[in-house]
Amino acid sequence: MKKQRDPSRLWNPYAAGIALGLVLFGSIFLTGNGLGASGGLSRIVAGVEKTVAPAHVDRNAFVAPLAGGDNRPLDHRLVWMVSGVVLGGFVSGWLAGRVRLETLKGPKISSRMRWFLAFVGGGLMGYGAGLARGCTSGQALSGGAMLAVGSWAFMMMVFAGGYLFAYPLRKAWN
Amino acid sequence: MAPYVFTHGREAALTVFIGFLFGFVLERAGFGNSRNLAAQFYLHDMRVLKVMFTAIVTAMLLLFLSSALGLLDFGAVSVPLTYLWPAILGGLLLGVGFIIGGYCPGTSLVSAATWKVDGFFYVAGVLAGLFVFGQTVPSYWNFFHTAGAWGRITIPELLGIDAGWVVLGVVLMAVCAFAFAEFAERLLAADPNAKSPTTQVRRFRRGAVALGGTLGLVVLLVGQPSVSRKMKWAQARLDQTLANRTVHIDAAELLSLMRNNQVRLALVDVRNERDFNVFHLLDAQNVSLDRLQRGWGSDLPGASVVVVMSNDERQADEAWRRLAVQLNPGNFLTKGEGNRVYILAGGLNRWLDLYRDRKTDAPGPDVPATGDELCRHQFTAALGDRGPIARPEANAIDRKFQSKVKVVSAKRAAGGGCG
Repeated sequence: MKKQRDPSRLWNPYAAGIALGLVLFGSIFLTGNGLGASGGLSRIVAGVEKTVAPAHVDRNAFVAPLAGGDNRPLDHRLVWMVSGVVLGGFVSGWLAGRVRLETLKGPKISSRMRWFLAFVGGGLMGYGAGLARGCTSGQALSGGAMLAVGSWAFMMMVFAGGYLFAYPLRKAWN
Repeated sequence: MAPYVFTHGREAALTVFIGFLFGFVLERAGFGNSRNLAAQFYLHDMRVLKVMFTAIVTAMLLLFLSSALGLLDFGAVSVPLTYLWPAILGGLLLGVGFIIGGYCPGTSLVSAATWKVDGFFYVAGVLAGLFVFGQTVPSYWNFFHTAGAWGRITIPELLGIDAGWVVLGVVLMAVCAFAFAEFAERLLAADPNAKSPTTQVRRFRRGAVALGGTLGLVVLLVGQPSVSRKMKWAQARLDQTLANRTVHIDAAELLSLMRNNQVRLALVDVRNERDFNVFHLLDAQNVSLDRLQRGWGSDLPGASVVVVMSNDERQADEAWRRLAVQLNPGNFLTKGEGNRVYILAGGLNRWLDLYRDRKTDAPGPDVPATGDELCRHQFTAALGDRGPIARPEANAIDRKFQSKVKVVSAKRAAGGGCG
């Protein structure tokens, strides 16, 4: 007898939180480093820049330490972590029957609008993650668990920013 | 003692594995779906808050518990450095990007991995945003690097209290937030017939709260390791190292370090203030044993070699014990991990014998100085670091030494996270 798969079935949020906390603790305990995502993406961008315009990379104060000269931007733990995240996300989604080509959006907007908003939101997020030296994974989760001062200030501001713009954007989601 | 140092290949494999689990859990939590994430900001599904806060509380409790019990050296953990104003501005941008786009960088990777088109666009947006950031940040470089740059600082350090208090506070805050989340969800639920929690669920929740509170209380009662507790843990190694005199360096070696501009050297003089004012080495800092006992030095920024000194050696040895457990990785418990704290053999008395009185037959670093910690040299005025004996010429006297100092790059927590 095969058990019916229900793609809308998720883990209980508290259970998922405990699991995530254990992964985070394991990472810190074993390697001394927390989790991260935007740092890996930043290095991937730097890697592309390096192949396209190596001289430009060497002259940019932000990118040069990542990819300038002999630095290999992709040989970094956060890039390895990004590859793991993609793999883990795919395997979990595949086992749950959630791997499907689709656009997730509120009922009142078109797919094109949703794509546009996703790109714009991603752009703001990317810029913000650069400025804050981390995203929800590296700053809020990891730094939050370590009780870092800047991470908690960051986390409060993420929620503040979200709630500030939630009302004007309600049509996009509800 | 954790954290551990891995070879390059092993670290890569382990990190990919950790990332795999990270991605798996994010997907299972429903974070590959932007609608689940955005719902947080409309209060009818507080999944994001629940998962994130539970994860933070779980990891925080285990982290500070293992540090209190001496299983983990918190000083070797990469705590994200605080750059307050960039973090505040960046956080605000992130929040706005979150509600517009529906993901954060980590969750968008999971979304794209499960073939969500909006996830693809979002990842593309993040990459574009990071690219633009890299191109524009040099134009406000000072702000990025100096605005509220407080370094590696945690909330308990900022408040000057034991981490246990903050841990307990965060647990309490989380419980309140969860109670609010459950309340808001029931109030705003799309489904008016949503079941209220069963007795079993209630019992489980009460158990989880009790467990979290108890662990927090244990963290507070045990307390984060003080200098004296770390010294007790490492006593055998400290005694043995002092007895072998592997960290006592010759005055001539110290001089060569002072004359070497490639070494980031910190000189710690633990004598009383009078002796210090009468004479001290150039750039030495006067730090009392008391201050070392209270943990001074945990923030000696990136000095690659630290040398402690007193008139003879007894006080310097005591100071060395305190700095060694504070500054060396793993609280100096594990063998084979770099030491970067050394002692001036023979103290300043022998230094003055050599460089003031030119007694070139003064004993080498393997001969202990058992003096009574009084300065045996007479000065007619308080010189401080004036005059050439505070830093003689490199060839002031002809003295050979066997180099003992190994310059290690500072292993302590440089900073990390997403960076």
